[in-house]
Amino acid sequence: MKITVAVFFGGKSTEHEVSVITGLQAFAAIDRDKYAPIPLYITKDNTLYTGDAAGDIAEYSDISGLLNKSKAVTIIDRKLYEVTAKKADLRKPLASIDIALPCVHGTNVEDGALQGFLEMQGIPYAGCDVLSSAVGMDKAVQKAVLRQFADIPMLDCVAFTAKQYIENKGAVLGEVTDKIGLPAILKPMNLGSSIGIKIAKTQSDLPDAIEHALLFADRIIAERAVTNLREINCSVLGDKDSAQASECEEPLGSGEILDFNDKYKSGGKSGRGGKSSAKSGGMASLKRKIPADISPERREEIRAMAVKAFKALGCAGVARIDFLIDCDSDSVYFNEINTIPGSMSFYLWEAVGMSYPKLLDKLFTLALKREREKQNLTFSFESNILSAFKGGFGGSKSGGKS
Amino acid sequence: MTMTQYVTVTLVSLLCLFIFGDSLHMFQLNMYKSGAHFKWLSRNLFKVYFGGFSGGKAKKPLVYTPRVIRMCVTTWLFFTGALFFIYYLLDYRVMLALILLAPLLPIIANTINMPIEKANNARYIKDAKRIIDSMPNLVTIGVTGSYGKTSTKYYLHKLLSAKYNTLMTPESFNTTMGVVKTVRGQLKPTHEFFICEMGMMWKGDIAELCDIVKPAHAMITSIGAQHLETMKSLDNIIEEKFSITDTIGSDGNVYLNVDNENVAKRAKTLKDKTIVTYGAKSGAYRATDITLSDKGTTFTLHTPDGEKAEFTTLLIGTHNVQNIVGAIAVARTLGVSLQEMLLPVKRLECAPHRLQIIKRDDMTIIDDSFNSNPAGAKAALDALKLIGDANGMCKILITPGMVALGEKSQELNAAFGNQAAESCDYAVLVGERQAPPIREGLLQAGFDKDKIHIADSFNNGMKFATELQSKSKKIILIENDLPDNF
Repeated sequence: MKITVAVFFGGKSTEHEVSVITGLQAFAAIDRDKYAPIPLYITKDNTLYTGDAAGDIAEYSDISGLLNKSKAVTIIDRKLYEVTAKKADLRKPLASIDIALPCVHGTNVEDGALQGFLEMQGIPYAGCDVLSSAVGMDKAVQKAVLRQFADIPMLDCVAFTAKQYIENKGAVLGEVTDKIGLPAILKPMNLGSSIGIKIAKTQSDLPDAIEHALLFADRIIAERAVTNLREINCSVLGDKDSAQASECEEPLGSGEILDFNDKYKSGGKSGRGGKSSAKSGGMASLKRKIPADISPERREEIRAMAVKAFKALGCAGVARIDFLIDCDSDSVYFNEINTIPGSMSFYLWEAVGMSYPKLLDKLFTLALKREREKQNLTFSFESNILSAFKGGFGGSKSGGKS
Repeated sequence: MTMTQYVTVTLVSLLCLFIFGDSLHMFQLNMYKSGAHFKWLSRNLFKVYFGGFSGGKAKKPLVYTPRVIRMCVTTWLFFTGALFFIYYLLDYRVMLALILLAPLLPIIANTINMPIEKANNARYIKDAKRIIDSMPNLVTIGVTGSYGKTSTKYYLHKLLSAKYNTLMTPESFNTTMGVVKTVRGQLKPTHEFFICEMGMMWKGDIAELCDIVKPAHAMITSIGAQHLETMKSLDNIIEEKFSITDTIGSDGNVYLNVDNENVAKRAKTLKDKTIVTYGAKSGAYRATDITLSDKGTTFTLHTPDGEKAEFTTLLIGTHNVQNIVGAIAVARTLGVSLQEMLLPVKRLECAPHRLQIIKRDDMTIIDDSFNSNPAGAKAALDALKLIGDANGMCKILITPGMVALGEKSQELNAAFGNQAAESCDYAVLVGERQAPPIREGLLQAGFDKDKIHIADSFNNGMKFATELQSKSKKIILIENDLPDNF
């Protein structure tokens, strides 16, 4: 009997397509000897689909064609059932899900929404729980938590809402210039990638940058813009009890995720159903430098900070933490966390000798560990406190009648 | 047919249905064993024919399983045939025979259905075996014992879960079909360990279970005079319990509670097995410095490798220390460190109805209704005294006494009464069978006879205890409240 893993990807998010790539890469890399993976594509209106087509990247150029070839499904009591407009056959589940692997990116899914859905379904899942997912999505809240629970250098920030800005522009602009100074970087509070982000170099740029960010979110965060900067990213794997850091990378372009054609189609065809889809083909492209060209001391400093932030935020599974180096002052700052990093950061783990199938195996083990811990704290015997009011003490003595 | 005849036939059939329903209920509690049920019927003749009208709520009601429904269908066919007969022959002898036969109807239906039931069970058993065989990495631990096995199973599950994905048979599921149901319904490919409680009522029960779940390790928590009625002699019980070790290979462990004399004695002649002994007093894994209070228990655990650690638990009673030490022995040898077990041990709760303390505003209840053995009963009485005295409470015992002890029943119940005299202020004895020897034991130890109350049912006993006037707060021990078939 193999362990059934449902790989969730897509969803109502601006990073829908990137998530499809992350999901299908993981789907291809899961060790088939131990696991039986199922692709679960979440459409942009949050409907679940599965089937062979849903597991094939080539089908995603024509979404309506893909959906026609796939089965719409629902999950009840950890089991996957096909549903059509006319009926849902609840006698024959398509599969019973043992573990879920959320490969979703962005607000509406990665922010605890999918995790909450899985909690309600009682399905053990890989990665961060509801709270850490939600905290990890909010750029201001994660800084507040880290400021409270971990001594990690961060850039000061100012947060405000659309309403505050519209009703009192002067006050908001004044606060940003006073507390942050210029140049400032303006970001939507809860969006991933670089969507909605602009730098205001002068006072007159500021309203523009704010209004641009407001197109994407109701809450905005402003930080000092580091002009002479390097970005260094580091992944962390583990949970609250123990966690380790990966190799560090330096992204050199704008793409934060490996190009799918590079990684999956050209290098990984043999990997479908096989063990090693992840040979570093496209990764050696100029888009990122692994390992990052930094001193060993700096590398250790960043890796230690990454683990500290991961634990302080209550994360689990694999996350990627992005740092900034201000080259003028030669100091490192925590920038943000990605609780479900693009490509699950597998390339950062390959760089320290851990294959992608092995990384996924560890994620599943951690998912089951959390499930156990949760169950060990569930006091199951006292099933109904209200029963005490009836004063009944009888119970079943012998079990297992057929 | 005249009106009178019509009414008579209808009344007779209704009467038969009443009697049948009642008998069917008891038949289920007697685990569909014709012999045991017949014995019960012969002992409870009055109840059989008139019990259905007495009303009252059953402690464990009849469960309409598919098997019971099949039995009802067969009975209905049989019954219709008989009524058909009456209708045409109008022979009152047939009618009378029908009434007399009514209690036997479940047995008759079951016998007729036997081939179907056997085939059904065989299919389920085969399916369970297939599931077990499809998980070559699953490690199964078989747990048996006359007492302590359910508690030990609960504790072991918590300790192993500190590190591994573990399934246990729920509640006191320990029959073949109970285990089969667990495997088919709950075992998942993510499980690494399966703790299987193995019960025994008849010879060969344990071998049958071992054949299905193929345990890699075995554990015997105790051997005592339980199920003497079906097993005939203590030696038979010892051999049957030790048959759990038959299929254990050289790389498997046999965990034995050597505090128990019967286990310790038989362990000496057990050949070619890797034995891991444990106990609260003796054994390779053992406890020292045991201190008890109404807040719980503290003890120092020693391993055969010289490791030691201090454990605390909210559970009370030395028998619980024994069970916890057993669970630690298994978990430790399977790779869980003592350090990892400290918190799980602290968080252990007692299994339901097994010395479970229920604190209510008006009274404290020690619910020990599933423990029906002399050693467990002693521990429960100790707990009653310990907690009652520590809090200046009025100590009340409610018990129907101990059953399934065979010939020694009288003697052991009297001894129980003897012990109870020191531990309680009031004794409420339920039922007529075991009450006299317990009463005798109580009186012999100088217990005030005015403080003994005999109740005809558990509910009335509870009512008496609740309404009893007392200056101090009450603590009630419910010892061995059995289902209705005893």
